[in-house]
Amino acid sequence: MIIPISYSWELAGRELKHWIRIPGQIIFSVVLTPLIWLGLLGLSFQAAERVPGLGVRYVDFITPTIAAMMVLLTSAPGSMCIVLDRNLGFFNRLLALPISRLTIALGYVMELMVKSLLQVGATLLIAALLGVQFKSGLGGVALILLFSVLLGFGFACVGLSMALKIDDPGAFAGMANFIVMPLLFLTPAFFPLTQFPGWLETLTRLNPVAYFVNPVRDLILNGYDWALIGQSLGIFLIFDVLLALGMFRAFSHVSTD
Amino acid sequence: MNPVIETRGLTKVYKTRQGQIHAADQLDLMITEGEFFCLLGPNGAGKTTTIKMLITLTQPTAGTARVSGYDVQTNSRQVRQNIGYASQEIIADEMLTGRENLVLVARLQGVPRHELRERVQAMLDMMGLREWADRLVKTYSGGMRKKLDLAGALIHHPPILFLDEPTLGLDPQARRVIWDYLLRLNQEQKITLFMTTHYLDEADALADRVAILDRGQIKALGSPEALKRQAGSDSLDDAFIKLTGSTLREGAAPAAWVTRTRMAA
Repeated sequence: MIIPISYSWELAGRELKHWIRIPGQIIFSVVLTPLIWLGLLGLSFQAAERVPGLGVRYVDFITPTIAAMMVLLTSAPGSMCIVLDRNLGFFNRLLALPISRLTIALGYVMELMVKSLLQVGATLLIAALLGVQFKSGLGGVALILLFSVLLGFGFACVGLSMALKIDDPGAFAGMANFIVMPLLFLTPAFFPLTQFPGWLETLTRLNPVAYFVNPVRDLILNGYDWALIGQSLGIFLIFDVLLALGMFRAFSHVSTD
Repeated sequence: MNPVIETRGLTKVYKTRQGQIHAADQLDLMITEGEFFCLLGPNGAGKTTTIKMLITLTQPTAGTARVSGYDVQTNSRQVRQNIGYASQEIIADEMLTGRENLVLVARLQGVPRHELRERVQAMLDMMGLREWADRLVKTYSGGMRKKLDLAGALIHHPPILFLDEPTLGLDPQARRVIWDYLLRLNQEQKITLFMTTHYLDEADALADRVAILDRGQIKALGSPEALKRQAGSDSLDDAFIKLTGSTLREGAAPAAWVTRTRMAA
């Protein structure tokens, strides 16, 4: 009897062991990266002025941005692991096992989700240490983690689908960053939407990352706006289902030719 | 004897800018239970493509193939449940220990949890890796990694083992160890072995039957002795040249050990 989820966890565990066994990698990606970004962006801009139009400290404003950055950089470029496995032959070994390709795909997704959650968790903790107060309390933190999973899942699907088609790790990293970085900047991640020109504001509304930044920022600054939360959850549901279908299709058609 | 691998007109065509390449061209093979079968040919002959079709990694362009009675295209899951596969690359995960590698593969192969520990330990012992079991694979030699890959391919006790160039890149001593182990697997455990190689001596030393493949076509098929007899030559190397009108482009190995192995077998 094949139980895809338990087998997927076995695969995810393998990748996570890699991560754990390179302590420098964990310190850098989980602790130093959010610390540097929050410290550099949050505190340095805060010294200049408060966020125009909102009157909040910049470090409060920028925390959702850094959380989104952690998720995006882990989930899409993090899919590089599959490029490496394909080059090493390990991926072919997986395909020759009596497990479904859905199981294999979920294994990689789960690994990226666990890493994203740890990084977002560390980001929120560091933000709290820098004085960010979460108006929505622990329930809000749980919702932020849920949004992180939803955002990361979609971009993991994108990254993994791309990784099945690109053989060169350098080319893959370039492509993944090419997709992720504009999406990050095309949000109210660094400045309020009201400061954007009209056409850019329209584009921003089509960007899924905005549906992470907006409710997460609201949970931090104001509390629970269930209409906003519900709208974002609905958008992510559609976004994730469509991208998951695309990824499963890519895995089911993957060729070793 | 029952045929456990059977192909009819098995063909794989790749389309390139230069035209079509027939990596496998109308292959008709029948391998029986317990046989040690060797697909011999130079690099680019179509050996890996053939093995990939048989283990369900690549779809044939035409023809059919059955492994353990299951069609490779319509019953791929059942085929994969009945085979072990070791590729020509060394794929043991070097950031895991040898034991962790085997546990992972065993679980994914569906080995019951209550048998897992015992079976992994037995495989480590059989491969002579007991002392190294809990060290990271990145500290292993090439020969040890290859043995670990083989152990992974066998952990679920498959009746058929596919080996794609199992000794590629190994030194003569490591090759001998692998050869010895493969012969024991075949003779003592009656596992059917389907192996590709471009080493003539390897095919001569190990195989019950050899198919010589070149440019996707089978040029000759039979036991090493029959092929040599047919060509009136003393070595498979000479037989290959006489039967195909060409020579293998690569291959060399410890000839003295070959003779000893065939005599002992």
